[in-house]
Amino acid sequence: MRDVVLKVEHLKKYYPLRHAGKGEDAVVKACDDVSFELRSGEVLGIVGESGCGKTTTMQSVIRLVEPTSGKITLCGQDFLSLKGKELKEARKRIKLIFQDPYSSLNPRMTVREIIAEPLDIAHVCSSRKEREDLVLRTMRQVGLDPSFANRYPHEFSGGQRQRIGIARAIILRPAVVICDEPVSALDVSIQAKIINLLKQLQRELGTAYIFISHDLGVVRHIADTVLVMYLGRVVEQGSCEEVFKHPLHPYTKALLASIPRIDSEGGVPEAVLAGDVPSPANPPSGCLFHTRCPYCQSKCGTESPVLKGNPDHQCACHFAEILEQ
Amino acid sequence: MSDIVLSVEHLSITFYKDKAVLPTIDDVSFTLKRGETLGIVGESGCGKSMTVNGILQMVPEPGKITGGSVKLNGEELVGLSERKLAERRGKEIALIFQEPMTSLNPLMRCGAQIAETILAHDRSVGRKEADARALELIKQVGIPMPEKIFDSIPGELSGGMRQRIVIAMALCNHPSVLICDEPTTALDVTIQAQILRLINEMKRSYNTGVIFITHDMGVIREMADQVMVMYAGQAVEYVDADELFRHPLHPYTQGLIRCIPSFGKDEDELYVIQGSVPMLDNLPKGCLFAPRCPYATDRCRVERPRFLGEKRHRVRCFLYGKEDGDA
Repeated sequence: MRDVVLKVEHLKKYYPLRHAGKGEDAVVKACDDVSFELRSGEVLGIVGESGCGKTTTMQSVIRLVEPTSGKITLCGQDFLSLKGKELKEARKRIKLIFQDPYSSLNPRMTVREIIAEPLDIAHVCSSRKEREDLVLRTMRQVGLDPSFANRYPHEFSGGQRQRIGIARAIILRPAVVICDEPVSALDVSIQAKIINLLKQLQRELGTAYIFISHDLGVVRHIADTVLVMYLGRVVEQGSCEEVFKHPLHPYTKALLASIPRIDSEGGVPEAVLAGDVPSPANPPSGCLFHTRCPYCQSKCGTESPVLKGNPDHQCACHFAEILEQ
Repeated sequence: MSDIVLSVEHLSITFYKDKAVLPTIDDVSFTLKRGETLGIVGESGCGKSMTVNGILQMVPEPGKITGGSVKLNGEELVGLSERKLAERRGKEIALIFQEPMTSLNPLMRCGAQIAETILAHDRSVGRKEADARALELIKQVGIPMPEKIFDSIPGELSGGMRQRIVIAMALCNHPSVLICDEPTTALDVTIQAQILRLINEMKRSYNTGVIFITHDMGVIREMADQVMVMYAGQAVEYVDADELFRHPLHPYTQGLIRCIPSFGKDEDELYVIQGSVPMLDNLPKGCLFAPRCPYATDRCRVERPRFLGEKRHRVRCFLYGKEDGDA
């Protein structure tokens, strides 16, 4: 078994609501009791609709926002107790790739400066030569021509910009890279190239990824384990194989059924989910999904289901066993 | 009465930048029947949206329509006066954009925006009647609590609800052609499924011809009856949807279908179309796709293939047909 590089336990991020209306909670539970383990070289996919807490979870894990409670262990270290220098040191091991390759690169910095910035912040290079070598090597690694080092981001296409973002993320050889919708803004043909690159880097460097996406096809392709989130809660969790082949939660089933597929017979499938995601400021009682669930029973409106099942596949639904048949 | 609501023949659009002449749309032809959906698919920069601009006679400066014809219900649109065009747009031909927020007025109540579109095209309708019809449309596109939404501003609605308002607005004058330019790209899959279904329902009840633009092959599979694949301003394949997915002919179409991560197959590496769409000021001499094509021959690099084949399945590639004798 490979070692666990990132362990997240009962992670919670609540945002206070200043103007809570009548009958509303005083907090928005953007990320509510999320737990997972990530082993080296593994990919964890996080899926769900917009507003279900994927990005908040990611931001809390890297401490861009301070989690309300929970425990994060990064490479054996208690990440949440770190401060100042120690935190900076630990952050070398966890890096980010963003969705929009246009807004995530500083337009006034050259590619060399962008890619070298993590090196400068972490003070890892003792000489200019070492820094330069590392930058050029990383550029080659992500498929960028090193002769472009003096150019600015606007001179590149979306796919190439995303490569710059990837180079910046991997240059310090982090144990974990969090990819927040890294291919959503790209054309399909470019998307395939970037996914292949991420897989290749994973093989070469043994990096573990947290891969956030609303595209289930992409997650199914790249991830080993998957978390399905709804309104800040994990509704289903397990190995990618299991979750996609035998989805248990009605929400996961609905998500899978909603994807337009080229191997279908044509024609739009029945719209499996009616309505929008409810407001997280005023979430439904009981099971959060019961307002949209086609199998909803009276119990679902009052009792909140807990995540249960075997380590390989868990689901938070009162009737998962019955629905399976 | 013929069923053909829109016929585009040999449409060409050229941009004149400094001294360069950029052929943005090159000889695109298609027909659209009542109640039929034509899908237009291709990567960014392939001319999908520019084709729409050409149909609506809204080609931005410094571009010009340099040839071809666009007939809407038998009437030629190219060269029609701006006043007459304004009467057609929004009445006989309507448009739905990708981002619903940018196509709605953020300060105007939803109901009033729909009523405005009705009033703009029909002087015999009074304000009260227009409002009543707007409310009826809001109900029709499946919005819960229509009376409340009628008085809401777009910012108070979710993305899916906004897109429903845009659809209601597009359909309020019973257009014969509805153009959807990436209408679901900004939406979640579950909401996308709802909106696609709604567009199909509306197409059936109004018997509208739909042009559906997307880069998503999966969406094309579900929506389109006919498909036109575009590459660098040219149509490279034009065929009915079932045939396209069973036997895609053009290497570009094959690539687009193959590079999608699919649920059916387990592969370690995704198929990749090498390179990227060429810039208009630097188009290859031969077939526009040749630099990226796995089957390119010497001939492909020097000679441009014509758009040939039987009417049912046309393709722009030297691999197929006997184009030699056909010239």
